[in-house]
Amino acid sequence: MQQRKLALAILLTCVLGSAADLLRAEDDKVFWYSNYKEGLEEAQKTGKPIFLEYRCEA
Amino acid sequence: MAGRIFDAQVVLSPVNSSRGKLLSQYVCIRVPRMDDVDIALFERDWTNTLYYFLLNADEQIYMRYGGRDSAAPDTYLNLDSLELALAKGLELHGQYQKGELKKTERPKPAFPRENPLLVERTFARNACVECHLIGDFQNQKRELDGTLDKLTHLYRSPDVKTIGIELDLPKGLVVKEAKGPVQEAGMKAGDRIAAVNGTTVWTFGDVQYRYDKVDRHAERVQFTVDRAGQPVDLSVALPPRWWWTDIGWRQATIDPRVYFESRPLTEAEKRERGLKPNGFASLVTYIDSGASMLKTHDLKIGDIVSAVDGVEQDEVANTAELYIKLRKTAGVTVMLDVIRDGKPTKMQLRSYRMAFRK
Repeated sequence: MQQRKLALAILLTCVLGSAADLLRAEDDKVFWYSNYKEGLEEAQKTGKPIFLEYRCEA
Repeated sequence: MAGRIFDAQVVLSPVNSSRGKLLSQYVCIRVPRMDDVDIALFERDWTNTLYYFLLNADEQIYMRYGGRDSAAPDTYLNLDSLELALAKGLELHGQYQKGELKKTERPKPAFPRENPLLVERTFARNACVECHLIGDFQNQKRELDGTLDKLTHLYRSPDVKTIGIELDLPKGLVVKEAKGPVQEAGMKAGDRIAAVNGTTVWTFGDVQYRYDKVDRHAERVQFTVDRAGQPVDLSVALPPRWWWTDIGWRQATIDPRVYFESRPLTEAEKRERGLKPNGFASLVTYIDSGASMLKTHDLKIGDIVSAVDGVEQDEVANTAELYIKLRKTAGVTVMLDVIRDGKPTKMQLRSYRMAFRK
């Protein structure tokens, strides 16, 4: 079931082209910042490392 | 599409999956627009449309993840190797917090808005700053400034397969098969690549980035491998044109498009035709349909191109095609010496300069 949900989400993402918008609607997914400065501030606050994705969607 | 699927698989990682558990220990940031990216700190081959950095709040980069080859954008993207990278990143972060990692100097920030050519093409038209445009407009500026070095700036990300490295992708930098130059240097299947020219590497993204920094005229590159827990240094002899890859997929205005492919003539074939033994005389093997559409040349398969603008040999190029690409500016007309059906003739070739007009 979980795999089917993921497959559907991937398919929707491919069609719609924006993974970030989709993930925000899913509470069981990892949270992603879409603004580098906001994420950097969060890392400074929490001491966590940063995983940064650059995705050119054009 | 391939990069898009990997992107979705990563971004949509469930928090209770092994990947999600690793990602949850990071602040995850996904930046889909390049307008404000610090192109000095996050410097890379800009034709990668999906690329990752593992760093900390002091903007110290632990590693890169990504990279591609001319065959596909996702050749080196692998969810298992990504998990290895994420786990290693956490380990390095722990070391950094304990003061065990040496800090690197942060490069002076630089931004896409500082390149007037890029601004004219993107910001001024409310158009997206696409990754490849950053690289291409950097090269256009270099071309105008006279600082363009095509071998370095255009032929980015040399392919490690050229020197015989085949990786076991799910295992990160573990070598699956070592052939040719790396085998001759002593690399073996099962080795894990640990450093390139003395710089530690953790991922293929690191390897490709460091390998790209090797001087194009270098004769050797040093690899350090981890073999059964012991570091082993290997000095690899670089073959001629080790940096060459098919860059036809790259969108680069400075690359003269010639719309034909050729192979070097053998020594015997040159001798038979009385051509220079060290010349770049080459046999036309393919004509792209763009040639007739754009009226760039009238070459045919089987033609031999023996000289370009009267030049027959070059210290780097081994074909007429490569000579034009390396030594001529995109969009200029050159005169070819051609042997067709055994008879010498001359013909013009006008290389095409790509444009981005959206």
